[in-house]
Amino acid sequence: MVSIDNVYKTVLNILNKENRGYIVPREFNTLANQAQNEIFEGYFSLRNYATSNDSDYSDIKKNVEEKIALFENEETIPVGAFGNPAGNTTTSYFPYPSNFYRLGSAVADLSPDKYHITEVSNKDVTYINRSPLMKPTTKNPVYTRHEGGLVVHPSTGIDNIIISYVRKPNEPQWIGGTQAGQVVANTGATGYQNFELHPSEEHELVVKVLAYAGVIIRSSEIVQAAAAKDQQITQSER
Amino acid sequence: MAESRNIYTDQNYYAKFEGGTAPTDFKGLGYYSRTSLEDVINNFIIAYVGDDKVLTKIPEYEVAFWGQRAMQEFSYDILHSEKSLEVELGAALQVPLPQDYVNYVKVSVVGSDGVKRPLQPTTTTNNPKAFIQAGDGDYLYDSNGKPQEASESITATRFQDPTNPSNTSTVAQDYYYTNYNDDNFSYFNKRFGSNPENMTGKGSFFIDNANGVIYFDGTLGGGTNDSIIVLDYISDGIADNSDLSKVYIPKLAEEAMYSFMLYNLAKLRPATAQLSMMYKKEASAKMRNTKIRLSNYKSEEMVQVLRGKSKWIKH
Repeated sequence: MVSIDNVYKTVLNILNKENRGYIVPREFNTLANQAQNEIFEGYFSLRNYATSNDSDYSDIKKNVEEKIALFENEETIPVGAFGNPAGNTTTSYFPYPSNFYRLGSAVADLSPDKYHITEVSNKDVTYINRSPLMKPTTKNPVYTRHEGGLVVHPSTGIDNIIISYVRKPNEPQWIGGTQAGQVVANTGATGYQNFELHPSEEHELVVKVLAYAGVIIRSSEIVQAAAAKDQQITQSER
Repeated sequence: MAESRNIYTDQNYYAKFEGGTAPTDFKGLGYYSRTSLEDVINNFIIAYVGDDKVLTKIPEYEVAFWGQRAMQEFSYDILHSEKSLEVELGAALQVPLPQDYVNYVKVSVVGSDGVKRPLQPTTTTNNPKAFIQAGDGDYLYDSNGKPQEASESITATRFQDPTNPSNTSTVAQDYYYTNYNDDNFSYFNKRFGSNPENMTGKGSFFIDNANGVIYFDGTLGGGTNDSIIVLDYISDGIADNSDLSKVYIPKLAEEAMYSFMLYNLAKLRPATAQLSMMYKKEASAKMRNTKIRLSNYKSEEMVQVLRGKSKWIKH
């Protein structure tokens, strides 16, 4: 969790220096959401080229996974059906939760036992269904991706699945005003939302928001400084 | 790290044998000597597949496929047949092949002493397709223009006919004593030049694979002691593959199965194809070891077999 108030005030301090400019909370909130999403999405590619070692705290790959793990979630989903505008109905359909971002794994919940569900492409599932040795069963099920959810094979016998997934970060929102010339946050206001990223991301959030803010206030100096800082952070994470 | 593999208390384990009620998930006496194919597949995925391992990413259904292929191949070559079916011959002298039949190990007739006496398959007859013919020899056709087939060929019918001279049980001794009592038959009971496979005292059989039926000759059946047939056969071990937790392999073959799966999964992938020859050798060696293990040689039993044969056995 990163305090949105800290980020906002830091950004304002840098922007206001030498009266370069100012961004209002509404603009800041938009930029904050953009910065958070950019950093969050970057985790999934960064994990693949981050170096790994056997240390406790300097294993960069592990650190990235730790940042993703803040959003890992699990949910039991009952079977449903999906109808499209053309009138086709897809059965054995399990819709994603509303805060779904990326799918980790899925298991069939045949209480008390649970069985891993393997992902297959729509092309392969036809062959797999016709292969005597690979034909999916309730204990060896497979799924295909579908709009807004999964389709599990076999189409009968599995009423609930449990998915492990990464949820979307909540949209950050700073709410507050000025008192005696000072910017003051109203942290108790409904809708006030801090950044949900790992605390180590605070400086990168500041840099990214600054880069966007520099574009808004047309300050090439800010944009360049933010870009240089961003590059430095990226290098340090490899 | 690992949980105990003794999954029952001793009392529950012996309950059924002692007349009580076995646990609902009871796997049977001697279950500890086997492991399930489901366990093998799960173990393989954890131990062999993943980041920084030889196989980085393999879908589970592919591992399950090669696990089942391993089970099939091992069933044919390495594992012992556990399938044995006793059948009483009916008047038709035919036995249908079991549903999970792949090949036979032995077909025997059971004597009054309960001992199985192997029957020899005959290669001199079969059950050919027989078209029904008119009096002039022309084939008769059905409404679709296809020749009509007889339900059974005359060849097989004659083979099974108990009145057929070759099926008539004539005791040679009686025949000789009746007809040649005064002659000097120095060769009596010395049957030079005979074909050993035909010298069995019992009958013979052939398998009609197209129709899935075993035909026995007319010397068997008829409600005598020679009516009880035992078919020892091999299956592929995965007839019940809808639930791999009920497909068992001996623990003595577990390591060979991992190697078989590793080799076959590695050879298909460009990243690991170079290593596949090494895995092939490893799989081959482990299969050989498994065969030896499952041959069930016990040194003391072997000594007993060879004792008194002027052989010096160290053990």
